[in-house]
Amino acid sequence: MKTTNVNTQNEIQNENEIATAHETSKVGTWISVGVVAAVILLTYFVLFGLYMDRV
Amino acid sequence: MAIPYNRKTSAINEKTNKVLGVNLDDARISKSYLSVAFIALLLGGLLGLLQGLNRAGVLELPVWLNYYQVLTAHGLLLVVVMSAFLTIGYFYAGLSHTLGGLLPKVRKIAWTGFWMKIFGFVLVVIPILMNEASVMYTFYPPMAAHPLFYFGLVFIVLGVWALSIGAFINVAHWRKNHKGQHLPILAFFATGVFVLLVGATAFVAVEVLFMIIPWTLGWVDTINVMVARTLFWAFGHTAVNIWYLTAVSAWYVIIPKVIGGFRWNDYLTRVVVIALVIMNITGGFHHQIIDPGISLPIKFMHVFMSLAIGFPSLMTAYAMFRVFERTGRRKGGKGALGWFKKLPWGDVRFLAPFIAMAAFIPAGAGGIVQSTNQLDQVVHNTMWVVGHFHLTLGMTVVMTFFGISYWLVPHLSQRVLTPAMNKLGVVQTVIWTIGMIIMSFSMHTAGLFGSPRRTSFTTYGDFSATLGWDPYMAAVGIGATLLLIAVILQVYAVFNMMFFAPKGETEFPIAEVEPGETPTPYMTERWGVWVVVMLVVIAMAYVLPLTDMIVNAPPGSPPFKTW
Repeated sequence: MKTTNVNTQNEIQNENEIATAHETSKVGTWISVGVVAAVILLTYFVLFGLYMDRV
Repeated sequence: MAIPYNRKTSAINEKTNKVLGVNLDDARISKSYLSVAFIALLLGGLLGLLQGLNRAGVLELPVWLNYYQVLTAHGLLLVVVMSAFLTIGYFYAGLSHTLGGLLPKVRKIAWTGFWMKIFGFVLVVIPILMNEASVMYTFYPPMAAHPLFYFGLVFIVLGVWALSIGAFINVAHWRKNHKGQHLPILAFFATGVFVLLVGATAFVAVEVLFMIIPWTLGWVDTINVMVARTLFWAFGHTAVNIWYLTAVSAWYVIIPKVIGGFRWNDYLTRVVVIALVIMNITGGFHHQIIDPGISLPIKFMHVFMSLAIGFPSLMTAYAMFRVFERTGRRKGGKGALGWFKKLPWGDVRFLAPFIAMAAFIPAGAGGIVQSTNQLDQVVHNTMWVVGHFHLTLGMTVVMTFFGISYWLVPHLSQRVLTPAMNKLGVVQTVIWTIGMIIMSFSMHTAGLFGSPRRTSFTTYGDFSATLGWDPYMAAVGIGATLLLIAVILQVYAVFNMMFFAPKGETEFPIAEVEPGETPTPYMTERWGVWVVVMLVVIAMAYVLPLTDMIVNAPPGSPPFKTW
């Protein structure tokens, strides 16, 4: 979007920056990868507990 | 030297394909492979139901049908026939689409490979039907099948080699005419898969040709079981990982396009493929982690070599969530997890592969357990392992294949995926998911209680501890029933889309790389180097233990028929 108004130009520029920062956020990715890590660790500890219980 | 991923070439290929449409000769090849794959799914699924109901204690098999016969046919139909034919049909379609068509000689090779595999499969089936080859998918000694079974396997391997050579010829031809360019990403995945197919089948070829066939023909009295098992697992484990790599290719390349996004990080994608190719074959050894006769240092090394495969998988998890989050946010998803709701949940082409990916989280965690010496002792040779490979293959791989079928079959058949068929696909996906969760969870739990795998129905003389497994085995039967319903719906959908759906054009969805992405270094294209590194890693893993097994060989074993 183009504008000749200096104030509006700034506003649009800011909007774009916000949109870009919003789009490139990695919060959701790290939460999801955290779930993956949690499942792996939980499985590992449960099985290790069973192993220790049975040896 | 970094060369930008060539979008121009990609765009030209896309335009060419749009103008020329699907190459009908190439499409016929892929459709033939897919047809065989889904017929195998139907037969294998039916046999799976028989097993599930038998283990649930509600179905007694007729006297002319042995449980282990059914188990052998079920495993071979789904792990060897369905997965292989789907992989080859999908990648040959991908090679045709991204490399500007198959070369005429490659088409001939593809048909030769097809008929060799079919011929080999017929040879394998005959002794299975005669109950002379109930040796299961894990057909290593000392159980011995009729020699015809192994001759059939030889033809199947020859077919695989022919198809691999065909793929390499097409890729080499493209590279010759596109010097300095990166191989289109789907062809890159295909190259990795066919390299692994050759590597994996080389081990089983040595086992079958030089050890098992002379032994079953009576030319030698005994066989070195340890060597044979080692060669088998170098193949058996890698085969399953090849089907996994095929599914991963769709996650990286196809899914971003289906959800309206871009591929994220071409460099990472290629590194993941290279890592999976280099480190895969050595992972087979962890299947022998409880075997006697293998020294502890060797087992220790192999724990690390097997766990190494987890790293590219974790990179894939990050990459996939990154694609989903970016795409969901572009579509207006707010907050930490608002992007999740923006994904196209009603589109079977996305839903099925997404559930497949989600299933790989517990499946991968289970794989780590089985690769770790101590933890494996809790679950080794129990129903846990059966649950594990139904999660990895039955959900992660097969549900991705199902998702692929909903655009690949209409694309090849010049037909369209109708909203009604999409809805049927969603229903089919839900039924399959519920069935597989019930079945896999029950198998894992029964395994933790000690229920053994590869065992037909028994109450162990009504021993109290083993009677506690029965409710879980009944749940396995319920899961198997739901799965067969889903199989029937899936097979109906495939052949409907192939022959009866409305005529039209369906896109081959290949995602573009994210705009402004850093160029991928050209070193990723050095396949010669990656193959040498793969061979070095294989040598590190296998030379010492195999030498030890041969030099300090245990007494050989005669053939056994245990069924």
